[in-house]
Order: sequence, then C-alpha cells, then structure tokens
Amino acid sequence: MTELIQNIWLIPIYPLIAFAIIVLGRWSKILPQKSGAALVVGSTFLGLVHTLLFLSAWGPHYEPISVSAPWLHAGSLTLSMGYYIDAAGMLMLLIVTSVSLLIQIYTHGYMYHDPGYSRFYAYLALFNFSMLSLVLSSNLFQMYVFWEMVGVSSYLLIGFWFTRPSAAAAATKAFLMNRIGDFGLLTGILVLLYFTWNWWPGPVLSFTDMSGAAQVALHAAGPVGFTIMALLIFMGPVAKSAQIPLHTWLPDAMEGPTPISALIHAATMVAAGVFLIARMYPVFTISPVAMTVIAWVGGITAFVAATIAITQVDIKKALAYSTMSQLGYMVMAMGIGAYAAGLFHLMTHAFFKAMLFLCSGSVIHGCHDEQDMRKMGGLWKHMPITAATYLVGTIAITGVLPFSGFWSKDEIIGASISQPLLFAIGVVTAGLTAFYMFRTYFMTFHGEYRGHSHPHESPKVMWIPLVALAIPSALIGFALSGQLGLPSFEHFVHYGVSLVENGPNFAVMGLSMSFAIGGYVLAWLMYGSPKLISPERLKTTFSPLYELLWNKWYFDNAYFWIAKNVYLPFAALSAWFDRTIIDGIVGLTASTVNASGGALRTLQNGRVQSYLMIFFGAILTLAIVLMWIV
Amino acid sequence: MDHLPVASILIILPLVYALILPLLPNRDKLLHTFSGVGAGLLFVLSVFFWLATAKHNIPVYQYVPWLPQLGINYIVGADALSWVLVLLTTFLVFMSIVASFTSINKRLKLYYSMIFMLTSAILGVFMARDLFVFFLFWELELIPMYLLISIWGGPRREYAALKFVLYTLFGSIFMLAAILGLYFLSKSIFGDGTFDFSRVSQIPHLGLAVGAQILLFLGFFIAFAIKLPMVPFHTWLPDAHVEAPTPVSMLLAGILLKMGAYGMLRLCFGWFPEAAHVLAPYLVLIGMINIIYTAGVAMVQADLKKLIAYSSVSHMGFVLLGLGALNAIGFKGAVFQMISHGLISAGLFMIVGTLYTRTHTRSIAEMGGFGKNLPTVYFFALIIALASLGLPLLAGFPAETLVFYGAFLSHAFQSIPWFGGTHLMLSIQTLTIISAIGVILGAAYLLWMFQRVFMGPIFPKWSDLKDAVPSEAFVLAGLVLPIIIIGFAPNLVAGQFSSEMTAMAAPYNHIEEAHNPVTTQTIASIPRSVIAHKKGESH
Repeated sequence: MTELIQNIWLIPIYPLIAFAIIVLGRWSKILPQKSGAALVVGSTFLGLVHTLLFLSAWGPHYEPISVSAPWLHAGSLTLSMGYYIDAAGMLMLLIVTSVSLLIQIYTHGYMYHDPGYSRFYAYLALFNFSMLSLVLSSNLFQMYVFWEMVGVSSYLLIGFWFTRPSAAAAATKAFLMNRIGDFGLLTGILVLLYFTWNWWPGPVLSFTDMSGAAQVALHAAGPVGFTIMALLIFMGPVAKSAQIPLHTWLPDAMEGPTPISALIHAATMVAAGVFLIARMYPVFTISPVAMTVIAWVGGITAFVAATIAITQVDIKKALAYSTMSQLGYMVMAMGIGAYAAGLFHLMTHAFFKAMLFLCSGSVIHGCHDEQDMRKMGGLWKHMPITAATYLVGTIAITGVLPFSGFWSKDEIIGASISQPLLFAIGVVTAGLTAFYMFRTYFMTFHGEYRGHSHPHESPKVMWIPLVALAIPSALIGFALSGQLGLPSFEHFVHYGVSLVENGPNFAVMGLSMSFAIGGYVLAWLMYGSPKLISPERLKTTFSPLYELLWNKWYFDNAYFWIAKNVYLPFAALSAWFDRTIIDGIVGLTASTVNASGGALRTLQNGRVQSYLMIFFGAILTLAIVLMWIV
Repeated sequence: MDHLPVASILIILPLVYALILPLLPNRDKLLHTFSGVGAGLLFVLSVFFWLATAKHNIPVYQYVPWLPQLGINYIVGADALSWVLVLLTTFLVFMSIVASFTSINKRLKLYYSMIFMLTSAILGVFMARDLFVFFLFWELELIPMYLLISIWGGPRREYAALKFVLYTLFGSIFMLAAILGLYFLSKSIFGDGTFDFSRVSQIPHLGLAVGAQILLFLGFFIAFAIKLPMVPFHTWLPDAHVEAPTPVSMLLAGILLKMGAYGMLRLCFGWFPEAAHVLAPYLVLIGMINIIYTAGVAMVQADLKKLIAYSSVSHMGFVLLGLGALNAIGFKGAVFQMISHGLISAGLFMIVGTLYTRTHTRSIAEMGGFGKNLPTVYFFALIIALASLGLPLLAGFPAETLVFYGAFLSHAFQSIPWFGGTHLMLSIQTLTIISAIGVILGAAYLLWMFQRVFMGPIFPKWSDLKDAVPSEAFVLAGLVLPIIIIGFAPNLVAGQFSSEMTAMAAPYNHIEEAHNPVTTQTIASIPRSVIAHKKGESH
C-alpha cells in the first residue's frame, strides 16, 4: 500500500485510462452515452485521494522527491521523464485535482443535453492527464512535452462546438499564439542545454540540478547570452498565461463551454505559466534584467487587462480579462521576487475564479445561453445561490478583508513597494478590479431583468460545486495568512531564502483596499441601484479612451493586419515564386532540351548505344576532373 | 535462419506476386483479396525475419557472384538502418493496398503488379550492398511509378509522370557518374574494380583528396536531393502527388522520398565524412529553406492535396537539418523523421483520398464542416495533423526533437563560407532557430486547413456524405496506432538504430571534441559553494 502511495506518477495515469476507455468504448459503441462522467469523475476522485494519502505519508519534513527514467536516448543525449514533487508541486496537485473534481461534477449538469457529452468528458480526462503530468514533471524537457499537451487539450475544448465558425477560429488562434510562446520556450531550452549539457550530474534539465546548471550557463554564456536565454524561456509563460503581447487568444477561448473556461482558462492551465516561472526560478533569479522584464510584463498585463475588462458586456469575456489581469499580478509577483505570494495568489485565484466562471455558466444556463450582461439584471431573485456565490467570488477577488484575495493579492502589492511604479500599477489595478467586478455583479444580478426568457436556478449538481468552491474562496486566504496561529502559506511554499521579506503589510493593504472600495463605490453609483452616474454619458465624454478600451488596445487588429499584410503576402509570393520561377526554369530547361532535341534527333534516337555514349561522356568528364584534382 | 537468404526472399516475393497476378482470373474481388493478403503476408514475413535476425544479432548478408570479371556481384544485406526502412516499406505497402480497395477500380491486374514491382525495387534499394545492384533497383523503381501515375492518375497525369521520370533520370546521370568514378578509383587503388559497399566505402579513407570526395558526394547527392526532394529540385513532387491516385501518393510520400534520405545518410554522409563536413553548412542552409519556404508555399495552396504535398516537402527539410548536424543525435533524428514522416504523410494523403472519393474535389474552398458527418475521418485527421505539426506523444515530436537538439548542440560550422572568401555569419545554431519557426508555420497551415475542411458549418451539398467504410477505417487506424505508440515510447524505434547511428557518426566525433562548451576550466571557475550546494540538494 505504501508503495502504491509512493508512486505518485500514477495520479496522471488514472485520467489517461479513463480517456482511453471512453475513446475506445464510445468508438466501438460498447459504452453507453452517459458513462463518461462516472469514469472521469471517478479517475479524478482517485487522483485526489491519492494526492491526499501521499501528502499524509510524505511528512514531516516534506523533502522533495525526484525520480527519472530515460525516455528518448540518442548518442550522448538522454532525455528523461519522471516525477518531481515539492511543496509547489503538491500545491498544484491539490488545486488541479480538487478544482477538476468539482468542475467535472458541475459539467454533468451543464452539458447533460449536449450531443457531445462523452466527447467532452474524454477531452476533460485528456486535459487532466496532461495537466497533472505537467505538474509532476521532473525536468524541463518533460514539462515542455506536457506544456504542449495541455495546449492541445485546450485547443480541443475551445473548438468543442466545432461547427461554430467562431469556436473553430478561436481554437486555431489559441493554438497558434501558444505555439509562438512554445517556440521561445523550445529555443530557450536548446540554449540552456547548449551551455550545460556535459555538466548535468543527473538527468539533463532536471529541476533538482537547475540551480547549478543556471550558474554554469551564466558562466559559459555571459550575462547577455544568459538573459536572452531566460527571456526566450519566459516566452512560454507569456503565451500560456496570456501575458501581453501574446494574450489575445484567452478572451477568444471563451468560445469553449463554460466549465472549460473555469478549469483550463482560469484555474489551472493558464496558471501553468506562473508554475513554470516558479520551476525555473534558479535561472530567472540570477538575471536581474529578466526579472525586471517579467515584473513589468506582469504589471502592464494586470493593468491593461483590467482596463479592457471595464468595457466588456459579455460576462465571460469580462471574466476572461479579469483572469488575464490576475495572472498579471502573479507574473509580476514572480518578477519582483515574491515567489510565495505569487503562488499564494495562484491558489486563491484558482478557487474564486473557477467559482466565478461556474457562476457565469450557471447564469448562462439559467438564461438559456445568453451571455450579454445588457440582457440580464435582477437575477438575484431568480437564482439566489448563484448570486450569493458570485458575490463571494467578487468580494474575494476585490481583496476585501478577510476574504482570500485580500491576503494573496495584497501581499503581492505589498511586496512591490520597493518599486514605486509597479506598486502604483498594482494599487490602481486593485481599484479597477473592484470596479469591473462589481460592475458585472450589478449588471447581472441587480436591478430589473432586461432579457426575454425565463431565468431559473440551476440544478443541484451545478450549484453544489459552487457552494463547495465558495468556502475556500472566502476562507483559505485567512487560514493560511499566518494570522490564525496556523502555519502560513510561506511556511510550506518558499524559494530558498525568501527574496522579499513580506509578512502582511497592513498599511499597504489598507491603501489598496481603499482603492478597491473606491472602485466598488463607483460601480455602485453607475450600475447599482441609484444609477447616479450614467455609463452612456461617460462613454461619450471619454470617447477616444472608450474606443481604445473597447477595441482592446488594438492588439487583435494589429495581429490581423500583420497576418494579412505581411505573412500571407510572403506566403503568396513564395507560392508564386515556386510556380513561376523555379518550375518555370524547369519548364524552360525542358523546352530548351526539346528544341535542341530536334536538332540532335540523331542522338536522341532511343538507342541504348547513344545513351551509353552520354554516360561515358559524363564519366570521362568526371575522370578528367578527378585526375586534375588527385 | 543463418542460411536463409532473408533479404533476397523479401525482394523477390513481391516480384513473384507481380508475376502471378496476370495469371489470375479477372475478378475484382479476387485481385483485391490476393493483393491484400499477399502484402499482409509480406509484412508479417518481414517482421518475422527481423525478429529472427536483428534481435539475435544474426547478420543478414548474401553474396552471389554475378559478373565477377567486371566486379559486379549481387550483394544484399540488412543492418538496423535497412531494417527499419524495410519494415516501414512492407507496412506502408500493405496499408496502401488496403487503401486501393476503395480508390482503384480499373485495370487491377496491372495496377497491383506494378505496386508489387515497385515494392520489390524499393526493398532492393534499401538492402542492396553493391553499388551496381543499388543503381539497378534505383532505376527499376521508375517503371512502375511512371505507369502508376500515368495510367491511374488525374487529368494531367502524363505530364506529371514524365516530369517525375525525367527529373529522376537527370539525377541518376550524376549518380551513375559518381558510381563509375568510385569504380575506377577502386580499380586503381585495389587493383580490381569493385562496386561492393564494404570496399568502395574505404576509398575516401585511403588518401582521396577532399576535392574529389566533394565531387563524388555531390554526384550521389544530386540524385538523392531530387528524390528527397530538396529545394529547388522539388517541383516534380506537387505535380506527381496531385495527379497520383491516393495509394500511390501514400507510397510516394511514405517510402519513395525515403530512398533519397536513406541514400544521403548511407552513401554521402556515411562514406565521405570530409566532404560532408565541408558541405554541411550549405545543406543545413537549404534544409532551413526547405522547412520555412515550403511551409509558406503550403499556407496559400487552394488545393488540399497540394497543401499536403508541400507540407511533406517542408518536413523532409528536417532530414537535411539532422544530417547536417554531423552527430549521432542529428543522424538519429533524421532516421526517426524518415519513419515518422512515412507514417504521417501516408496518413495525411489517406485523409485527402478519403475525402476525394466522396466529394471528387480537392479544392479547400469547396469543403467545410466534414467533422459533423465524418466523425471517424475527423478524429483520425485530427490525430494525424497534430502528429504532423509535432505534438508530443505522437510520432512527429521525437523526430523533430532529436533533429533540433542534434543540430543545436552540434559544432558543424560557425559560419558559411561564401563567394570570394567572405562568410555568411550563420552558425548551425542560428539556422536551427530559424528552422524552429517551422513549428509555428507548420501548426499554422495544418490547423488552418483543418479548420476550413473539418470545422465550421457543413455545406448543404455535402450533408449526406457517409463516414469511413471499414477498409478506410482500417488503414487510418493502422497508421495512427504506430504514430501513437512511437509517440509514447520513442525508444522502441530509436533503440533499434541507436548503436548504428553512433557508429555512423564516429568519423565526425572530432568536430564535437574540438568545441566543448563546458570545459573543465569553466566548471572550475564556478564557485565551489554552488556545486556543493547543488550536490547537497540532489541526494
């Protein structure tokens, strides 16, 4: 039994088995239509139990465990796969298994009438396999493998309703944007390996040896080369965690069914970027430039995404920009050295954002596939549980004492105090966050209903997961804040000696909370009951600003322009060149030969002798040349 | 097993089939069944032979004097490199014959005879151990291929078939010159002229000038580059593919191109290491162009089959990149890419064929939303397309990984010597990074194609299309299964030719030894505390 518990690599295998059974069973039509849920939920439950059993057997010192086996062997290079578990990995395991479990239960209600019910569960299982394997990866190469696998799971799930052109396009876009990031990650790995590959005492690229490898690479590559390498690796997280400028796929990814938005595009996969930064921290921390870039990319993303979120009218898109903004906070935390705070926020965000998305799903379900908040309103009366849990999530993300966002997000803002500009961005974004979140809350649940259907509360199978997620959303921050006499989050999860001394800084937290309250008040004035300020008037007053935000800072337009006016013309030119020039020369040669063939008909008479003559001519030429050289 | 002429049996058996076929009664069902069973048997037999010999380290080698006074002998044999390609060949022939059940319905006797003759010639190329025999099989392959395209092909079949044959013949002239060059050299060095691989391959090491090596290398190389195909000798391929019937396309992309890659590895890089070292920069440069440029061309194709054909050319660029790395990792990656590309490109052409038999169009603009009506085809197309764009846990990824890692870790060249003593400042690392953009472009054209063909709403005129029939599903599943298995456990394949590639790369080892990025000095310069700390951590 203990041996079974020790083998935590089995955790991703459970969903893989579920996936294989569903695919083969449904293809051969042996499995009944609705059997997917039981299999997948069962496999995730097994994974959660296994994780908890391992956790209880792991203590008391929680020493990291690393095991590897060769996977691909070539010459002097052996690429391995295995598992590596430490506090950060355990944290991710717990988040992924628990959030997955609740979302998979919820899915049963949400997708019950969809003809692709079991296909959906199969993809969910594939995602779980990939994500859990990513979390357990023992080395960077393995992480790259499953990095791509979560990407493809995301592709499949965004394009789940593939007959919709918008879903199909969003899926392709998500994969391609991520591929750009993966290109950076791949080349970054290659550069790292180039400078270190004879050095590794254990399997190459393993996380246990990463700090030594980082030193070796720094010495071999010099600071500039090393920084370029670090930034190439960082491209991976930029795409995966939807950071500027590779972020535009995430809002479009909302074309996927809502449980996916909650699981993949809020709680787990998009956080993988932050997790990769955490795993590669030995590399990033010794490059000050890379750290600064990471911090600024995160900070700018947090701010820009928040500004876009305030104009969105689609409830899922608003939440998507919110996710992007919160991921920005996490990345910023990593960049300023607040390792624990970043991962702390990753955890709290996973719970409350998953819940917010599931609430939005419940709303969409209850309003018969309506996503436009302008056609909602007053839903508090019709779906009280959804409204209450959404309110919990909103308060949590806003960072109001003592809900979880207060402890995690404000810890990041507190940690950034040494860098005033980033600190200012963090505080202002906190205000914007409160504004756009309460805006969605008021537009959806307050006032009078503006739609035309008959909204209703969702079934039990959907609201129970909501309530289950509301508990950690509200309390886990406080519980792990170190204020209750319990050990704090940092006690478990930390990187070496913490780079930034950051216990809760209540002065800073007070400041950011006052901004948050300001945002709340403004939202209440504009969208809450009194409606003292008209949003429409503000729209016209600040028209250029509104246009900028409404058009999402024109990133999409720019990319579309580049694809249409740069790459496609290049491709068309290549195709023209291929047909006209290269094949033209071939054709010209052929016709020249043909023409001279007329003259030399006596030679081209089909007789073997004349061909032999040509051959011997060639040989003779070669022989002469050879003699001349030798 | 020791005395059985294993290689000859595999070469001759398909020829026997080709001779029996004309004698059979002219009933379609019988001819299909005979060929299917025959090809299945050939595949099973090749697996059996492989297990019985290679697994027990029994060398496969046969020497029959033929025209000894001219130094011409029938020598065939198989080492690990030959075996993987032989197995790929017999497997893909079996698959493409099953694919013929639905897509070929005229002049079956001649058709299947030609397929088997083609099989025999290809197996001969992979197992020949004598240059004369090699060249014979190399040329023999042209006859069935010409007929297969020009009789069962599309509207411009004669143009395409002729273009294919003339192109190959053009290359063959250079190869013949190189072969005879080696022959005469062997005459002056050994006293007797020979075509025997094992003896001819010694010549470059017996004090042959580098210039002569380069000439001989290039003589072979041009023939193989056309087959690969390498830019700018590739324009025969889209035409041939577009006109060829589906099973022939599968064989063309799946195996015929590998003849070029195989020849490059064994003859050019295996025999002329010094020439290869001089030429590697240019080959890698062209390999990069192969990957990036043809990806661009593929992007804008309106014809689905042409898109796949260009994608095939693009992916063969990885073979050049891997070979140009001049190390065991790159060589291994190149061979792995031959196998992966064989399965994947055959699969892609099967998908195109499955759609074509239903719609009779290859125009992407006329397609859309097939995922709804053709779920089986949809899922297999998805897996194959993902494998093609290099998704991990599918066959394309380990090949690309080995090629990229091999090329990036290589020290084959730091710059490319250019005209007049100038140098292009492109190291193999730079070219590898540019080539890696291919992973983005590959994903772009494949997924965009997939989106336009399989996703979105279905066109009303296609609303009554039927899903794959059993024989089509069999072929697709048969190709996808190894793609997945190899993807999960790449060492199953890579392990087969591991030591072989290490040996093949041995003449190039000095290149790596001259540039060791982490010298003892660098390690010494690192603070001891860092290393001690690290060692303490990893316990």
